[in-house]
Amino acid sequence: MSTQETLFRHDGRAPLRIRLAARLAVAIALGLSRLPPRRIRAVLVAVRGRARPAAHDQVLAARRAVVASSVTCAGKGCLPRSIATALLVRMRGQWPSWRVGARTAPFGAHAWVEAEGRPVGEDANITSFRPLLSVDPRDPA
Amino acid sequence: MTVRLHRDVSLIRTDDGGVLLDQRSGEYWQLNHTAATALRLLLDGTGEQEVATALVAECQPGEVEPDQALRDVRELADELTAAKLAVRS
Repeated sequence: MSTQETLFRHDGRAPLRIRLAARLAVAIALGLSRLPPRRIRAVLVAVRGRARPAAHDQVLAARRAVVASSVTCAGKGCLPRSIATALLVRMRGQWPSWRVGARTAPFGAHAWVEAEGRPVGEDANITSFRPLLSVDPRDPA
Repeated sequence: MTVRLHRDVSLIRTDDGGVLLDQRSGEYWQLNHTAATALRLLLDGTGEQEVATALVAECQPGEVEPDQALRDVRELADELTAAKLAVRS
């Protein structure tokens, strides 16, 4: 896809803006993914702040933008994908539930995001994973 | 004497065992059904002897000797402590 048509379009530059935001989120997420899980969690808790819970559709749109802008996030990179999606949602003032979980028989570990109480953009296999680590939106106190 | 998980370690139970995540290293540790049951009891404050008795009761009569069960429970606690996943106090 050429980006020229976006550059020369005069009606709304949202697509380009969203793509750039997604690239930024992916870049940060790729760096964060290399940290120990407790550090990732601490950073995400700080970034989340008081952001309100995200709507499912918003999170799905963010996930698609992330996957479209990164080969790693489109493939097996579930950790950077889940982090980048959460960051991109945060740029719009919201926060999904970020999770890392595992299953046995066969063993597997996975990272994903949830909104409105259900996983976003995952296939049916997700039900076998139990969360070990989560960053949920803050309870409105 | 009680066993508790290090605060940076999280545990889930699954249908056939469990998984520990060490959030400091990113390492996952798989537990089989017996180990997961034993760990759950230890974390609840159950003594090693009582945990061993419970494991023997779960098995077929004569399948596991009480002494062997106690050694296994101690070994599990030792391994978790050595890997700094758990703390004995």
